[in-house]
Amino acid sequence: MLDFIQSLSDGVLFGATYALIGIGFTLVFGVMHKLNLSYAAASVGGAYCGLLVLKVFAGAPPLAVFFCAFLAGGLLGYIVYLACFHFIPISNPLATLMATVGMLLLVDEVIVHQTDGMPLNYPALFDDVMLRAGEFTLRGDLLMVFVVSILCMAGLLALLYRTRLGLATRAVSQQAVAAQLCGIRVGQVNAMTFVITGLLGGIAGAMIGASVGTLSPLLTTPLTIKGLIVTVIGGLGSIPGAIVAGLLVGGFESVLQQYRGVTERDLYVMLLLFVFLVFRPGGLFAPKEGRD
Amino acid sequence: MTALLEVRDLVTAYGKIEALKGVNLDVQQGSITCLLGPNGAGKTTLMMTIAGILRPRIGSIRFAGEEIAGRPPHAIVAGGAALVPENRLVFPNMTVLDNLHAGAYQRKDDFASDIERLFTRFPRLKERSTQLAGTLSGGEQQMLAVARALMSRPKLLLMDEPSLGLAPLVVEEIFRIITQLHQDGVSIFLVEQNAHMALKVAQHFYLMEQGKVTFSGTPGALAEDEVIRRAYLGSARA
Repeated sequence: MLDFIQSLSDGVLFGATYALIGIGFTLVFGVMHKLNLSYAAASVGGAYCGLLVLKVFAGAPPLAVFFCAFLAGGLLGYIVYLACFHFIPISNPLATLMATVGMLLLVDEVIVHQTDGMPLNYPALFDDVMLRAGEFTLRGDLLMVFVVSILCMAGLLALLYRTRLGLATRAVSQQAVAAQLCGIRVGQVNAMTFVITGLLGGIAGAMIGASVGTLSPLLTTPLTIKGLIVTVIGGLGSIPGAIVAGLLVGGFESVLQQYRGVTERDLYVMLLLFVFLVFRPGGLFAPKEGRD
Repeated sequence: MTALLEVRDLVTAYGKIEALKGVNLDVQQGSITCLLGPNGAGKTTLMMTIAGILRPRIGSIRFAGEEIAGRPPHAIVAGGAALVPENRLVFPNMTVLDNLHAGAYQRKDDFASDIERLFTRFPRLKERSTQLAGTLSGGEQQMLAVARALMSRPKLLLMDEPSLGLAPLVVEEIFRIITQLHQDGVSIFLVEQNAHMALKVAQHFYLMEQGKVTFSGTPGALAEDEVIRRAYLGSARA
């Protein structure tokens, strides 16, 4: 029983990073009704860029690395927007999708070539802290990952529900034509959505690096798949859905890793996705009917 | 009177299909002008072109003395023309209040007093200000769509089929609002299927058919013309 609770709590804490990745997919989908398949790769790319701080200032604190990953993620988000959406006919559904696949492969290749395919150590905070309650332990670094992720989500929700930009973003996602008629510039909102999801992705990538201890180009594909699974289970376009589904998938895979081993774990995550697709295809928080 | 809106030889096409084939019409300052016509005549296309959602292929749209054809929608809202679109298009998962805030998106000044004034005009919206717009009835959504457009303080209110799908009593309410707005000095360009109601409030009307204006005049003249009535307006007696 203790093993179960232990792996569940570790998984849920780490799942906060999945939730962030899921939010990135789901927010872009909610605003533009497009998938950005390069998102997880760009997020890992942002995390790698964070490491550049250590090249310039050896011994820079982990916080500086995380912050740089955050900013680089935002910049990469804007580049992805320009390369895959701005100059590409948006009315053609396949064109933008394939452009983002191309971007996914490009980011992957750049990372492999820059690092010779070798994993790089990633700094963490509180990795020497262990909170104990009897046999049960809480890893300090995982707790930090969780708290940072939750803060980012809170920041995002505050942005969406408390600011003018957030109002415009919600308006475009619900009724793009009416948003234009209100004088909202859809192109600007789209671009800002990519920057904001990019910022979140940079943090998510850095948090994954911090909790695993290393970054590797091998992360991009599984993270893309996990992000998409989280998005589908949560309900396409739903931010609360992505949060809940991220924590769910994190806890689920950690428990199955405990009982069935790391090689079988993803099999069960896929099975979970299958169950959702069959019995609840709209996801946990299926968008309400009545949109056009 | 000077024309607030002048449309000249306007052509808008979807691919190779021309929905507007050279439209000419004027909306006078301070008037209610009504555009009638059967389904598929291009009325909505004209409204969307004036509002900047669609780009015209050729032709001119002058609004308040300025050429606005081909300008983006945000520039046209800023210039003082606001469209209440067909099917209302409220933001369904935003509160009534947020819908109004979105309508005031471009305004830098304080618009709290505008909201108060609109709530006096539309008491139902005040009652439901924290409700999601998608939960409102059709008539309430139409009022919200009108109120949202008014938040930009337009000189010209373009209205595309505001009575569509509403119960007769609600339609009367909507037309009462149109008349009030007109009395407050807003110029109104109205597309309507409900010719009977529209001709009661309008000072001038245009008839549109297959992408062209085929008739124009004042409501009295049309009422006498049974031929036009039968050909274009169907059961307009209702």
